[in-house]
Amino acid sequence: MYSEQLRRSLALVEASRGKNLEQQPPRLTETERQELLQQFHPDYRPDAFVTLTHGENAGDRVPTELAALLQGTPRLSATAALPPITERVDVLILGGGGAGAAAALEAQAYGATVLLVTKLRLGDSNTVMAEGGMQAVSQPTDSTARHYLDSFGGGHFAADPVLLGKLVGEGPETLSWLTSLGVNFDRDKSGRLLTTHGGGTSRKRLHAAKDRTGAELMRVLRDEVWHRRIPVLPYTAAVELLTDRTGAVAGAVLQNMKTGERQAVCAKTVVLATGGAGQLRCQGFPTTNHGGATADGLALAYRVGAKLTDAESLQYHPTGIVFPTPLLGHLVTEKARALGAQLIDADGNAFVHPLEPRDVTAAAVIRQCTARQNGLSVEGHPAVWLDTPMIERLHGIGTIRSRLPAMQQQFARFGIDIRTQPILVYPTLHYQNGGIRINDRAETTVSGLFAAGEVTGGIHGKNRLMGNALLDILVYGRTAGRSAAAVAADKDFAEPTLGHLADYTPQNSTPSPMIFAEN
Amino acid sequence: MPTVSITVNGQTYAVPSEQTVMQAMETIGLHTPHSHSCRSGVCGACSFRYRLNGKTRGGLACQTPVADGMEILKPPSAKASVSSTDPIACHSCGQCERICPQQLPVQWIVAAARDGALRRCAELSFLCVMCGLCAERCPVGINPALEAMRARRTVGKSHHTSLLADNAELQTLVSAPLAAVKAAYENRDFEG
Ligand SMILES: Cc1cc2nc3c(=O)[nH]c(=O)nc-3n(C[C@H](O)[C@H](O)[C@H](O)COP(=O)(O)OP(=O)(O)OC[C@H]3O[C@@H](n4cnc5c(N)ncnc54)[C@H](O)[C@@H]3O)c2cc1C
Ligand code: SF4
Ligand code: SF4
Ligand code: FES
Repeated sequence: MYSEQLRRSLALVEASRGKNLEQQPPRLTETERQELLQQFHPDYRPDAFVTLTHGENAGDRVPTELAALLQGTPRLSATAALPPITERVDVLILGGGGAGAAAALEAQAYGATVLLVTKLRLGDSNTVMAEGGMQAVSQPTDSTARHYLDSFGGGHFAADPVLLGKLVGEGPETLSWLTSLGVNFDRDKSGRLLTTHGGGTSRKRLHAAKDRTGAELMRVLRDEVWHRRIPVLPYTAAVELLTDRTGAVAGAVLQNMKTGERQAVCAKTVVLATGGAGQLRCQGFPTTNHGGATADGLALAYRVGAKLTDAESLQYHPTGIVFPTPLLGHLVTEKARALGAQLIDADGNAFVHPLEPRDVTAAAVIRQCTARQNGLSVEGHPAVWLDTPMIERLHGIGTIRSRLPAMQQQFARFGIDIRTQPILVYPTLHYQNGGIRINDRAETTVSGLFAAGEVTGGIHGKNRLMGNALLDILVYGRTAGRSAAAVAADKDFAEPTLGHLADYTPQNSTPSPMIFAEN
Repeated sequence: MPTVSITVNGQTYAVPSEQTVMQAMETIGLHTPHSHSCRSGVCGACSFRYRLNGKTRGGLACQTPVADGMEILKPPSAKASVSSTDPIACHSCGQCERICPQQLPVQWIVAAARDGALRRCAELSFLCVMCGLCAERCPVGINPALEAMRARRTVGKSHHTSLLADNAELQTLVSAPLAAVKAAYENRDFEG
């Protein structure tokens, strides 16, 4: 199944394994890291960014693909007739991942009438794909102050202190909320919570449910939404927000994914929980994200005048799958490198220390495949090897089966035994660090509009620590639900219009929002 | 490129042998965007039923390579049923187990739920993606995925303890000058 080039390189990898195991490449100095990032990290490529000319963030540089969407052509025109209003609710929640489900549960608990609208089924989201775990302080040797330090430094001191303080401060209570709903986190035999390290943590505070943390979390939240009989409208995408005469958000226009039919929902408040942007596939990178991660929320919010923050900052995970091609871009967990698997080039040489930070490692892989011309090519996609057999050489036969069972099964389905064969990887678009600006009540800069989850920015600064996204969607999802319910309680329904589109001029013909990735 | 032939809706198509069922559906133009989400075998949105070598099986289209002679009985799509008959009605026919794309011991999961062996039920069902194929097949209307969900949540709740945060030190840090926070960051000690 491999080409001649790949087979020859594979032989070199096997021949050099012993040598590579003995001698790791040295760790880089801080100056070398900065140089490597400047030259090869996708965030530093000037030709891949443009300056926004319109809207609240005019003058900011953002990825070209995002700019096209933010200044693109709405799916409705200002002069079009509003589709029929089919519902009136206190709180309209857009997005059915973890943030949306948490917001719905909390808004309903605070007495609001709620409608949750989501593009696919409730739970089809990035949340369900999270493997590693969620950070929260639960151990006596740890503290929320430590969690704050780890996260603030990890994000290069660029996070909003108040937002980050709230995130970590509510960690323990959020973890309790989840166990009260019946989420099964890993525990030892006596029932005590098990915690592990994630990249950049000074205490073990990552809580996992085996290697399927997001799936366990999401299915419990979904079950609870069903039990509380919260109305859910699946297979339906929000394509435009509605505003009242004062510019406050007053509902949304929805489009059925199967029939294309449209309807309008009138709401006192709207919570945007539409998730990430991986499917923009910036600079041609593949992505770890689910098919609906198309940054819709950013486009919708920007058009009604919401301010974005750190929108230029994306996270590329260094190890996305290149082969087998059906899995292109999907995540190879960091655990593989933590267990000792090294990145190896076409000639069989290790070229980066296995424990460099994510962004530095990604840049090193890109340098190997571009400037140094020492990468491989698989059906036109660049790649290097990740030498997984090293794991068993270091920790003994059986380690992969016990520590990376899902990964082993995933590759075995395509005839690759990762215990004996290295795999082919390349950086992949993983997470959106920035997004819609919010305050600690999850309010955006636009009245009536709240936001939570990956669609927001400011909480993680310029880089997110592993495990903080899952905490984020719950802390801020619940906050958004509560705040939206409280505001709705003191408000009457307003006349929803497409008024904001009247002073909007598209700068290009890109349909906005994108709604779904073309594969 | 080598091809294999598969049958969908009574019609036979030649598709590249290295594709998954999901890619093959896209190749022949029968794919609908709402029948997938994660493409990595966790969400269960793409569950489908097929017949191969005389046996009916279930699979996740994004994770199942095509095979020569594969007949797609139910194209990728998922329907979540939110009701279930009491598992006491189970007569151990094994239909649910044969169709499970995750190869879970579904009959045993149902038996454990019936017998109140909730911990066992939770453990056995951990990798369930709630694709709905088993419930679709059960002749008496049991929804094994919901029974398992109930068991897992009960087990999870049995461990619940309230955690309270002491945020005094945190509040000091949040309002501290940047230089002080940076110094504290550099001076962290690490747990081994
Ligand atoms: C492979 C992978 C592994 C990860 N591992 C971890 C981990 O170990 N730890 C961690 O903390 N984080 C992890 N993350 C990140 C984390 O999972 C996500 O950031 C987080 O779950 C996002 O949650 P959300 O609710 O904001 O968005 P999502 O869960 O993506 O939900 C957004 C929802 O909105 C819907 N939607 C989008 N647009 C519209 C629209 N226009 N109208 C209606 N609905 C819409 C989507 O369909 C989706 O259902 C991982 C992410 C991925 C992809
Ligand atoms: S829903 Fe049923 S068929 Fe699907 S994975 Fe779960 S047990 Fe298996
Ligand atoms: S299909 Fe229904 S009756 Fe048959 S074994 Fe499964 S749960 Fe029992
Ligand atoms: S698309 Fe999610 S399991 Fe196949």
